[in-house]
Amino acid sequence: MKRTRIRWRIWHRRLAWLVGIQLLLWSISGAYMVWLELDYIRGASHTNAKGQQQLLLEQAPKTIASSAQVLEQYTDVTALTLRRLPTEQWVYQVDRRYTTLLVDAVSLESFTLQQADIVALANDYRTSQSSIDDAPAVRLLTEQLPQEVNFAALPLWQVTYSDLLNTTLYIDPASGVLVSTRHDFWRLFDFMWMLHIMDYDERADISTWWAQALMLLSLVFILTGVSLLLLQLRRLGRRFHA
Amino acid sequence: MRSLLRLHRLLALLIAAQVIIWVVSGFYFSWLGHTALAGEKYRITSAPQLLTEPPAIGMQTIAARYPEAISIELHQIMNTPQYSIVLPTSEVYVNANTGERWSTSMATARALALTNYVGPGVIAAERQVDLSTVLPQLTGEGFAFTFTDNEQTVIYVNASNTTIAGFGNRYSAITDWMFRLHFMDYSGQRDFNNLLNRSLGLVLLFFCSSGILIIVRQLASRRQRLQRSKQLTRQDA
Repeated sequence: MKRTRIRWRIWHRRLAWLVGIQLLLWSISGAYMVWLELDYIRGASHTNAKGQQQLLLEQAPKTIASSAQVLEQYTDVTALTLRRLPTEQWVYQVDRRYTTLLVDAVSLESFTLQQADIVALANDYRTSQSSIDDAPAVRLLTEQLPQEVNFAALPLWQVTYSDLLNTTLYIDPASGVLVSTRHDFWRLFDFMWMLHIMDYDERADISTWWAQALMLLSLVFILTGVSLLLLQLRRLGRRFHA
Repeated sequence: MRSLLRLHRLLALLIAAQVIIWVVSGFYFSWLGHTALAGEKYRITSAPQLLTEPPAIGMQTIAARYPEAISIELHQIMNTPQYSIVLPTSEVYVNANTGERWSTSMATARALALTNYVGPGVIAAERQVDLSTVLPQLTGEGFAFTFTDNEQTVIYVNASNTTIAGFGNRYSAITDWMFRLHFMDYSGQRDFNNLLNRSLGLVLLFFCSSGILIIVRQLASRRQRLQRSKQLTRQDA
């Protein structure tokens, strides 16, 4: 009996050397991810991807062109979206098969969003008014995307606020649509996710062989621990009855 | 050291079963991979349809009907133009030819499902479903189409706007239970921010930390013992 216990303990210790650190990392990353609200991490509590400008067509200075007029002028259209920019301009977002462009809803002339428009849009997407910075750092990314938005397409506007969380908004230059919101808690969440799934490169592959091997070893390790616990409980039970 | 061992054993008694569940379900997710978990092996995203003709109901009419609208989008779904109206807290879908609320027939849903499927199967079964019972964090009416491929792919179509709501396959029932057990959210909504999961997460953290501390202390005491025995050997010599 004693010999069995010692043998289990030795194996438990040996396996602990192999999997202990990763189990600790799983528990730290897991605890972080469950304690922070997912909506907060995704930026839903401080940005609103819909924007906050209501259409209010009756306030437009001139008559807005109809969708029929837009379809007459532009071909290969898959979707038309009528919006009002924070700069008090009514626009049609014209999605074509391979491109997207913004068109003035009165003149039907296409135009490109300038840096000032992007700042106005970013401020409109942000809902936490108190920390709005009038002069955030704005950059048009044309060559390389940061790791935190590696799924997006170039070019992309990057608007970084100097708030406590280093909030960064990524905006599509063609449509002005908010592509993504990132902040320091998200960045830490992403790091924890990397540790949790053990994909240290892309942070997306949950099926790496080393993660699976560590999980199997951990299972054996835990089972040796459970066996030890059961043996200990049995010993205590015997002592109690004696 | 003894009290640390006792604490480690006590915590083990508390969470041993859940730790085994976490590791087993984690291994299941890793083994199946993203695509199989989402049931998307035979998924293809269909290209959006071209807007060829203006709809009978103009955008201005819709804007007047929904003065609180943030944006109005016109697109075409299965040859019928649709307005998707974004309101501050919800979205409304309207048939752009009739001006009526959007509705989806079984035939339209079936056509959409087929345009988003590239597998070798054909539709074996179709039924109306309550989406909240088959997909996490979704509500409302929908349609389910089961295909005859080796994965038994199921495509769910949202009836409120005729969009793909999600996919399923023959593993979906097990996957759903694995998520329930891993996130400790037995409602099936896959909310891992629940109190039970948070509490057990902290207990696991203490449990692992105590385990690591025990190893470190044992290592330190073994070194001390070795040094002492070396000293004794030197003294004897």
